[in-house]
Amino acid sequence: MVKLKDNMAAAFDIRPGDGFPLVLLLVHSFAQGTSLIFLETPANTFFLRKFSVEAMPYVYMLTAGISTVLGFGYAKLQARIAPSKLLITTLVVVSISTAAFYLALSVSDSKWVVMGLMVWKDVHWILQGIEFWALAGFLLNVRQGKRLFALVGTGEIVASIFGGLSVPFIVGYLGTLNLVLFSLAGSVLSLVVLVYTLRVFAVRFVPTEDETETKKESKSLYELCKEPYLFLFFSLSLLSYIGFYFVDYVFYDRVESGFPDEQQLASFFGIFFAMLGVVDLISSAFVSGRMLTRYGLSFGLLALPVSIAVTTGSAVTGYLLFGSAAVFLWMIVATKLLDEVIRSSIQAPAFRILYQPLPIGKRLHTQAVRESIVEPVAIGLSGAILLLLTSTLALQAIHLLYIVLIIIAACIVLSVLLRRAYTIELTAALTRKKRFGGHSISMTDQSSFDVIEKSLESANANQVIYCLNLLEENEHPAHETFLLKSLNHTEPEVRRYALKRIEALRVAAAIEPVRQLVLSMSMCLTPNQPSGIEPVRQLVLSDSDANLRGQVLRAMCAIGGDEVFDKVPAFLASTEPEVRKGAMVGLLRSGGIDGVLTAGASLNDLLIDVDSGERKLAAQVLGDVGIFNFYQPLVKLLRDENMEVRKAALTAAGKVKNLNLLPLMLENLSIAAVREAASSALVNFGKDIIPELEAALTSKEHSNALRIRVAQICGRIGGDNALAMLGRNINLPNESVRGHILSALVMCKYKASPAESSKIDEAIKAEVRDATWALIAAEDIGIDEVSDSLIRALKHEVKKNQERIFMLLSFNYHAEPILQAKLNLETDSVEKKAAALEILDNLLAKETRDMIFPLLDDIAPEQRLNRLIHAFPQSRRERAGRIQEIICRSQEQSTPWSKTCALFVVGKSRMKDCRDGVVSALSDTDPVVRETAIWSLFESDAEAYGEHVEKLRTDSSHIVLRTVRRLENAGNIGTIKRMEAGKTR
Amino acid sequence: MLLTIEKVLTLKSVSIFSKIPEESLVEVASVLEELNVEKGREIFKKGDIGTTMYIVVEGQVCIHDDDKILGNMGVGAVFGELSALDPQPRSASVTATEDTYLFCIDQISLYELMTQYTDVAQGIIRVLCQRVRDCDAALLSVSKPGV
Repeated sequence: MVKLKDNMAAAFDIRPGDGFPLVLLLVHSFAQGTSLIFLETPANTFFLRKFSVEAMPYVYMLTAGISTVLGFGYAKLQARIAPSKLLITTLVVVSISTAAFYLALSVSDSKWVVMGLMVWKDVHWILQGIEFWALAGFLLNVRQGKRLFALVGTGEIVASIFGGLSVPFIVGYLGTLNLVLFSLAGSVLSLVVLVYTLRVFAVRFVPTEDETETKKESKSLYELCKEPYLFLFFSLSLLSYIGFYFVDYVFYDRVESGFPDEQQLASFFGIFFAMLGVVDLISSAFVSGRMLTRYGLSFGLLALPVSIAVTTGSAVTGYLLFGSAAVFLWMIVATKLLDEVIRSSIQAPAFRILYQPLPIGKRLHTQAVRESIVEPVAIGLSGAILLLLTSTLALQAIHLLYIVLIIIAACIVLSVLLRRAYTIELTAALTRKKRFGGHSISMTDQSSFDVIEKSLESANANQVIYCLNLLEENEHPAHETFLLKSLNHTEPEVRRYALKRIEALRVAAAIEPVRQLVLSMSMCLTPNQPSGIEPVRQLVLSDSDANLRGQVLRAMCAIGGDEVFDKVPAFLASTEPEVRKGAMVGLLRSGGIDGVLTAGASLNDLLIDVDSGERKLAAQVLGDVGIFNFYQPLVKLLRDENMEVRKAALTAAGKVKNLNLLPLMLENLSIAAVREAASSALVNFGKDIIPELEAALTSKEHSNALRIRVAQICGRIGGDNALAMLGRNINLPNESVRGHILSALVMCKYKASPAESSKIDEAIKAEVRDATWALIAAEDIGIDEVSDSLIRALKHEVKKNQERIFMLLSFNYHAEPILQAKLNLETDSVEKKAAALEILDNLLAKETRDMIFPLLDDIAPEQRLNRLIHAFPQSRRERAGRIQEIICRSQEQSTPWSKTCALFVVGKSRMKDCRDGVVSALSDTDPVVRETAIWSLFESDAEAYGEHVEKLRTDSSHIVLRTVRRLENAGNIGTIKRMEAGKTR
Repeated sequence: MLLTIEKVLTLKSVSIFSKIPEESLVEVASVLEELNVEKGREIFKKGDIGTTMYIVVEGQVCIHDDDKILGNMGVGAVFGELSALDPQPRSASVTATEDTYLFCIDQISLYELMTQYTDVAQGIIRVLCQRVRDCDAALLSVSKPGV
């Protein structure tokens, strides 16, 4: 039973999660098909009994008119009531109308009731269609839609076949009128199924906040047509329908001529419709879903016009060359058959997919407009045009086919344009974000300036600093004035900022307030507490932040001229380090030779001070001074034993930017405590150090951790040089380093040139191959308590492969939707995952898609593996052999962590079969691998451990040495225990 | 004493590290210190300046303020993270109530990790939030004794 279920699922491409909604939709579709077939049959019969065929055009016109009016009404209702209520209302109307017609026909023989039923049966079909496909759109996401939209409609086809076959029996026993009761039963059943579905999947019908907004803004047909995507969609729908009615007309015309005998005609229709049902069923159930999944929306949109073009073209050519009426007839029959089948099983599902990028509210509204306004208009228009062409211009079937070919050509063009628009629409739907900020504020008008001026009075420090920045950026004449005013601001942060800008811009107008501040500070240097000082000075003195006072001195040095040497040197002996620093930096930066001579001695003292705090201060001074040639003192500080001093020295090196400091800075990149400071400092160097960074990145002497940091630094530096360098090294063998190079390239928004594109494709292929290997390895090893960590490590490798694939894809395609798709695939949301796959399906080239989809698609693990192995053949191995393979793989192919886990499994399971691999791992470059290898050997093969432990006794890693010592102790204890046990015996 | 891989697997079971790939935890495992504390021994005192965060690998510890017991922590629990994030005097004392085996991670390593992995930062934030919630709950129970 389970096997049968699996086979059915495989045959229909049904995946986990599809089952229940699919069953509900199939039952719903069957009920609607029953309702339709049992309404259509009595309607046609009664109509032909009361009217002649010539009255049919009036039926078409009335149907088009009523459908259009209903469409407007439906669109209005859609804007006012919730989607679930609207669906129920639709089916209630359908059921009540069917019951009403039954009652009317029971009590009256009026031909107008019959005409009404004939018109209503098409309206009935349209309303049911809107309701059913809207429901399917809610229940199935975009990926499920591609696979299942065609399948869910087969319920109606099955109902048509069985219902049609049962009609003669029912009519024989119950009469024609009672067929309407069966129709009513079908409608009521579909209503019951709908209510149940809405209850079970209630959450899917709750519009989000955005969707509620959209719903309230429901637009008219004219407004919708202003959107290029919807305009193309409606235009294609209109033309496609007109084409259908032209083919339909030609079909009836030819069949009428070909089968003059009534019995032959009836037989022909019987066989034709039976065949149509069967072909439609096969196509819907087995072909269209798979073809849509495999070849995408382009196939869905182009299949119909291209097929009809081929058969119509053949019919026209055959007629012109041979003039055979029989050949012409059968070509037209084939055209009609293809038109019906492809339209319902391929084009209709493709059209459903076109709704998917729209928000739920808008989706329903657009669907209602298209199906209840655009399509009826197309029906009416077709009738009017056909009437004109055949009655007034007296055109023949062959002439109408010429027009069909023109319509088809237009449909093909529209399909291509719509396909492109779909990708754009879907991309926009996936990457739609609210963006804030990023706008620069213009200062050209007085009102903007008034706002800024008011904000400068604010007590909020950030607000004031932001406004001062704006004034400076716009080179506003009032900037200096406000800078001086800010020296009195209550927030020390604002005062410090103002002093910094005064120093940087050398604002001469600030000399008086700055002088006053220095004087106040001078008074503080005296033992007596100053008294009677101005409030502005009090602000500096009372401030606990010595940095502010240091900044006062720096500002003074920048604008004070000769006056500086009278006032500032005294502060070189301050007890406050920040004040000393300010004095030193100010004098060294702005004091010329005299300044250097005055402050140099103090700096030298700091450099050799035993107190690490003083050396740190020296490093900060050197950094703030920032003189390119004044780098020598930093060489010593970059090797300082104290990490805080080193950090300060690294920061200073990033400001000095002398290339002679680079080797030492790279050295510091290996030390965890100062790594971040070293990274930031190297980033400060900018593009000038790219060649040196490339040498470090490609050097095998450096550790992987250091090379990873270098890749990250390149990403942070950015620019053309960094991009070119990283692009050159995209295929570095070590996967961890390679991953970080790719991340850095993503950060720099790298785009591959056409020449590089094939290299990227090859890299993607290598990643998928590698992931396939990891998956098959995990399968061979099998999950148990011992191998759990190894399996996780292998799965993590696959995840890394996937991450690298996305990064590589972003170089060849539009990066934003690709990276957004990656994020969506990482979420738990089924909808987001489906949308992510859909965007990839649309953006990627077929070969790339076929290659990576098995890795990303939501399919069973066995199916995934089968599909991957098909593309990248792998041989199966037994457990021990596979573990040995992981241990022995080069570092380029397997991560040290996977090897470590494999060694751990060997040790835990005491597997002797992997001895050679474990021994070879003792020479691995990674200390954790060596550590685990020696332990594993100890656990699994004591003799081999004894033979090989010697070479690890002098290992360079403390991790390995520690473990060797521990194992030796454990070994000795074991020996003692064994000896004691021997004595006892 | 544990192998590096065993330390990694232990760290992985602690909430703040649970979302970090094991491969990335190797670095933490290689810098952390191991500490065995006998039952009844104080790990740190209230008011001590500390920059170390502790993870209970085996055993149990008691958080207390003199004689007032604030709570007990067992395997997988994290304590001392406040001082590791922002060195301040310890807000409470911690004593082993069983023979306890701890991992200790200092401030530098923790900051390095938080810089590299946002998941660690998020994990720490989660732990801190839980502490705040616990405090809120405790305050609430004190202010509404009848509830």
